[in-house]
Amino acid sequence: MRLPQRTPWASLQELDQLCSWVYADPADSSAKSLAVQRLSAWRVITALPHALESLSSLLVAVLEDESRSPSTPALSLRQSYAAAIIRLINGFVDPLQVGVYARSIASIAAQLGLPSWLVELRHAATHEDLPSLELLRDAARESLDWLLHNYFLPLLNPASAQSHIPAPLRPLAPLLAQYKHLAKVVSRDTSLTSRYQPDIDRTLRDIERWIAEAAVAAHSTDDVERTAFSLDRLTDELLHRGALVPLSRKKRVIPSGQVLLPAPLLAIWAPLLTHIQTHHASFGTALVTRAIARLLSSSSEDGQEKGSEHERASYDLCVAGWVMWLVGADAALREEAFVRLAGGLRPGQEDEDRSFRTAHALLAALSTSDHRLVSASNAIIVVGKDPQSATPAWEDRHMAVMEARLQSVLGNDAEAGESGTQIQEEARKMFDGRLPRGWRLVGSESAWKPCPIGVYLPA
Amino acid sequence: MLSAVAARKARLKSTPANSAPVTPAPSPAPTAAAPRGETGGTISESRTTPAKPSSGKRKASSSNTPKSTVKKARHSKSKETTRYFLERKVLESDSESDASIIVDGEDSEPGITGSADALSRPPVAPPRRAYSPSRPVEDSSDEEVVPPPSTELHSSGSPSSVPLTLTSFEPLFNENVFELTLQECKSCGLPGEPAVALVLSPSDTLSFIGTARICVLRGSVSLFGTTLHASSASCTVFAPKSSPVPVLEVSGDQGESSRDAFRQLPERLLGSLKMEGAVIVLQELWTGVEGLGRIVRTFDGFFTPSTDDGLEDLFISGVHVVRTSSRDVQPFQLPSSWKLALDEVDATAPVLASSPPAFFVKGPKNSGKSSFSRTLANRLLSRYRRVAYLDCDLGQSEFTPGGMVALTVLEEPIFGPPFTHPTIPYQAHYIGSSSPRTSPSHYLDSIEALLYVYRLDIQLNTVFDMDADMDAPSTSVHRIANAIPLVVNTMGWSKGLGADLTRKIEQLVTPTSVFALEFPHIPHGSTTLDSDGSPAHVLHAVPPPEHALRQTAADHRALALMSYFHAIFPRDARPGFTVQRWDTRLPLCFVPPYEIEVPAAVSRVIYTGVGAEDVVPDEAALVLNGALVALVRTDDDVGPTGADGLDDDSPCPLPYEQGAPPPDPTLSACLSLALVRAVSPTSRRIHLLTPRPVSAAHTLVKGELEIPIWGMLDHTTSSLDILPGAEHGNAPYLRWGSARADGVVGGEKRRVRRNLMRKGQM
Repeated sequence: MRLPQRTPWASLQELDQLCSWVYADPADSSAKSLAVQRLSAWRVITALPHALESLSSLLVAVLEDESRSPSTPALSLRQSYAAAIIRLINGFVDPLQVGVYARSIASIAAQLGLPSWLVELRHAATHEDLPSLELLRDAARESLDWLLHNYFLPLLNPASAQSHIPAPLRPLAPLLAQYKHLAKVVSRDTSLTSRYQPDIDRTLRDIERWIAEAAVAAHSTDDVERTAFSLDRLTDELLHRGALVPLSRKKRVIPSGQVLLPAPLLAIWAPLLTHIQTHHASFGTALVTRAIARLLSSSSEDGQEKGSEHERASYDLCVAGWVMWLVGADAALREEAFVRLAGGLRPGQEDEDRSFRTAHALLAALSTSDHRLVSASNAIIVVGKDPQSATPAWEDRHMAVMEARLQSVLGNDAEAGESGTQIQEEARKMFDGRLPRGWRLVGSESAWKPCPIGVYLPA
Repeated sequence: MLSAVAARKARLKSTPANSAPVTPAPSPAPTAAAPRGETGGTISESRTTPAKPSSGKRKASSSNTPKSTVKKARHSKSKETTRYFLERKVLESDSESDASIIVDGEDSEPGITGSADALSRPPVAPPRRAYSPSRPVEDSSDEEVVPPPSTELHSSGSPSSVPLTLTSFEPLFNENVFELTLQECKSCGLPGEPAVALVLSPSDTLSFIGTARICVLRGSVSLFGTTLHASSASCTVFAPKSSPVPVLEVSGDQGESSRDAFRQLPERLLGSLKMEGAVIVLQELWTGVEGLGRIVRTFDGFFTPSTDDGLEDLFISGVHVVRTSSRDVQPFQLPSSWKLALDEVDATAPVLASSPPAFFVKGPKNSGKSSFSRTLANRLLSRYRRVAYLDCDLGQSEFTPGGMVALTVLEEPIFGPPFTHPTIPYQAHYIGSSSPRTSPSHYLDSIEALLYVYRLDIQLNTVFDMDADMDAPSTSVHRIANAIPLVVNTMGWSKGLGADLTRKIEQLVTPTSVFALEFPHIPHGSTTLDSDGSPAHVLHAVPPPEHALRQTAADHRALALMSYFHAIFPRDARPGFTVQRWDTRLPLCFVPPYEIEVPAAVSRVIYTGVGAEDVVPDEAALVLNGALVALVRTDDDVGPTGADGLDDDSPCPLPYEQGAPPPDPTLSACLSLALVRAVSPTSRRIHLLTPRPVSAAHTLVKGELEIPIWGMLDHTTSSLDILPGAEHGNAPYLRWGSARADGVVGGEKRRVRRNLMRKGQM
């Protein structure tokens, strides 16, 4: 279920009209003032998208410029241009500060495709001398242009617009490698902690920054989705061999056959994981979900690294160890992991395919200490062993039951249909004849029928 | 090597045991769980005790946790609750000393933050747990040999793992639960719905979610901090999961009056009666309010138990007994500081002749102002026939939809969150915004006008019918009818201009008592003098339960507004009428509207809010379409000019004047809210939806508030993107799908973030 966005325009034609008022003839002041009036009205209807808000301030400045007599001071004009441009850039960049730490405006603007000289102009106008009128005029023109190509055209004509090519994400692997190196050193000799702590902090901050960049690159306006996107990228990187799962098979698990991680491995990665978790509450869930997806996918981790069955089994075991560690004592997460895992394992699969052995072991491990899960996992195993007993035989009477249910559902619908007139009658009874002057209740005999809010149907 | 689980278990086990060696002297020894009755206060206190990390690292990671953790939060909640779990034991032993405990924690902190063992400390601990003196410092020597694997990523200890027992009452059919016949209901003065009588022994508690009518037959019970005595009056209780649920307790407070006031009990019950205890009737209550959850889907199913809540039914439908608290169900608890303050209010001798008391409640957002004000009003209603309630909180009003300041006169106590009791105010003024930020002076003027009305009409009861003031004879408690006290609830904007406004309101009100809700930074529970010299009771702030934070303030506003639009107001409803029924069968877009002839019924259209003065007359009709408007009665206008029945096609401009100020609050009143669902092309007719068509309101005021998106959708379809008479996923003023996917930049409204960390903040 996705909620729609409230827009100030009733249809895109209205937006199209506005666009033509602004851009069709750059010299037409009266069209531009029409656009300003329309934008002012829209702003009162609902909060304007930032692009339109900026457009409105730019147009007001441009109109002021066009009607200016040479004798009036240019300062107010420069200020209104400057304010329009500062607010335009801030407004585009600020929502993309999705990370914990502030990123530079220039770097976000570059990801957005905003001309960098506009960003410099913003800085100058804010902190330095107010730029010259000529420069500001150029900037306003450039901004209007940019809005046309990055807001109006893609919105009005999604197909033909040049697709927005996001700047490629810088690779995360070097950062992770750097972190691993530092953490390893420190974990082996704790006396070095104070010496390396600043480096570790810096790396953690870098990783945090990478997460923020990835979030900006996501094709979504929703913060939750953005975060999910970047955390998914992050977890993918973490689950590569060489990160959470060491390259050396010996370092992966304690060879007891149990789902346990070796202490040195934990000592290296746990600080990073907890750090990310404190800043991104959904990280744990995301990592568990991805890890389980890895376990359930029958192909090997990535194409070129196709290893032996042993390699695969050891990789799986290590991932399973991380899942166990991640769920810890969090009952809710444990349950979620269980459900995901159980959902992915077909009953009876264990016998067919040995590659899911780890997944089954993890399922068993997850369900210990929780009696509800134990019974659920037993049920899965039992069903797997004896599929016939669990599926009741199809009988004709089941058809009758379904028929009866369908009837009752349809019956409900019919009732709901009636209620419309019913309510109307109730309301009529309640207020009939007592309505204020000039009021009348639209009755059932009129031509009016249900329609979206904002549509006028004569009654 | 320990597994994560085992390690955690081991640590938890050791937790209570070895507190002594590492704690500084003043730490109180942990004790076993405190007796039930006291948990109310202590739990909430411990919850509000903030983490006060002092080392740089801890500070950064715990206090700067970004907002998103709150929003998204299943795991983040464990942060607070674990702390609460660990600290509760300490606090329970001596709730008075929690101030010293905070200090205590700070003092001892440097001891474990030496950088040498910074890494040997499990890195999980710092961001999540406040230091607790009873917890062993984890630097034992064996852990230095092997760097300890951090024990877990997610600390456990979500509320569900430390559940509170909410219901101790064991229902046994025909032993302490009796089904009442229709006849018996009638003899108790109740309507005919199925009902059960419950015989509660003094130690019984009963908590439930759902809706019910409650009537006390014998003894007295406390509910939401208010004591209900045996009387003929029944009250309605709304207990959705989205707010703290009630815990019914037999109250020890059984005055002589209540003892002999119990009513004719059905004979069957007499056998199981004991001398102490109480007999209450729970009756099914069908209001249709549950349907609001289907409209505002963030509240979906808020009156029904989910499977893992472990709820049981109580022989009548609509009431589900809650045995223990869980992640989604948290009880209402009266903090001890609240109890003290309320008891003090009760103890003050009632002022009969001169001016009745005025109570002023203030505090930051989410500190429990509304809950406290509501409880205070309910308490006052046991001594006064009526209580006046002035709501200055535009964002989350108690009795009206948001966006207005309202003066409401209550006659019955109210049990439930605001959206369950929309009430017609005595007088209200529409500000049109969820915050007074854009029009502070209009806001103050409106409040001043309401206070004037209170002093003139209400304070000494010059308007209400004195004949009707005779309490029903079965109620032996005499309630004061000729003086009406005032409760003033303020907004949560407590910084900067907001603080300034609250202070000005306080000066206007000249309260006899001030209640300041504060998060405990300063010593609390004591009566202090505030800046104006009026005595202020400083109360513990009680933040809403964690699960309630899933719903934002905007969600609650949407719910309140949708509750208003789906409420059923009878034609003759007078001020003070509280909605009893809701009709959510039809979405708003299906409801047949009222058609208004603009020249005959509308004398002025006013737009207020930021930038409203820029709307030119040509665009006025455009703005009105789909707008949420207040129907305002103004005393200074001449009424609509035009007559109806003129030529239908002639264009007819709206009576709009650019830049007109909002109606003067001393000469106007907001009577009702309406949604302009359509404006005719000539703007001669408009289609309005309103639960209260009111005459005499000829002015339409549109503010910054809009109809929530939920109100524009058809909630009876599952996908929400189908609207009648519109293409799938295509309707006016709505846009489905993400704009960003098409490469559109700047398609959303600007948002601000104030918790960004700068370089070097870590």
